[in-house]
Amino acid sequence: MKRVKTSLKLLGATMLIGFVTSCATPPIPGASQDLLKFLHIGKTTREAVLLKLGQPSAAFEQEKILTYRLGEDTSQGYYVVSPKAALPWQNVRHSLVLVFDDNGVLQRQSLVDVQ
Amino acid sequence: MNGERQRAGRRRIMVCVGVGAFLLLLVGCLVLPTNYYQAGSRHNIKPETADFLVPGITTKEEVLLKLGEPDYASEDGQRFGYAWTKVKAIWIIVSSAPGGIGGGEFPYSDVLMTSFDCSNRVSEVRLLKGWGSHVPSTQELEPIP
Repeated sequence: MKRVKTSLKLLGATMLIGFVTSCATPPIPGASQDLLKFLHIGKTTREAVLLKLGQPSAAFEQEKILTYRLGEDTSQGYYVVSPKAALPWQNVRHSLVLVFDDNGVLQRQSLVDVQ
Repeated sequence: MNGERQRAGRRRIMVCVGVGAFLLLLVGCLVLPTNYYQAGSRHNIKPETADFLVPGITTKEEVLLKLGEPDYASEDGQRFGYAWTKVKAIWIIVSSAPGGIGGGEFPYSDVLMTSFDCSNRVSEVRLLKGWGSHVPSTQELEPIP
């Protein structure tokens, strides 16, 4: 009887561990709640943006306007999504649009919900 | 002798017709009307979005800030295409044959095309529509990425 109880406890513990690990979201590379907090109108430069966020998904008007595709995870925050040709907006929650002046300083920004 | 052959031939035809009819009865086809965005499509553009694009007034910068990155752009950046695809129906085929289940989607795509003049203001707005995941008329524009 004692053996059966121990086995049941072991089984229960194994199931609980399996349940918890299967529900946990794997860490998303580069995801951060503070990813966009470095952006300040009139201060942040294009270089700082490129260093922080990497290659933009698109650039317009001689790189005066840069766009990034961002995913968002409730617990891990924002992360940059590399565009895919087949499913271009999969895992993308926002399109970040950054407008710079002639000196490469951020003038306007918009986080557009695409989903 | 000839009569027997003819009867055997007719019997064979009848058997074939019977088997065909039986197989047809075993195969079921179902088409369900739907209206949801296809996986990988953006959701933030609708036909009414065109109201925001006022020729001679709305600038390229305003378009990007409001709608986000376009799906298509011309090489000179003077034409944008914003695309979205909805699944209008799904089809399912079920048969008794092994692995005899199949299905798919009927996607319908829209592309909001906008052109800009030399002062980077909207000059023309067009809405293209068509069955499929891509509207063929957008071939003049480069997809992003």
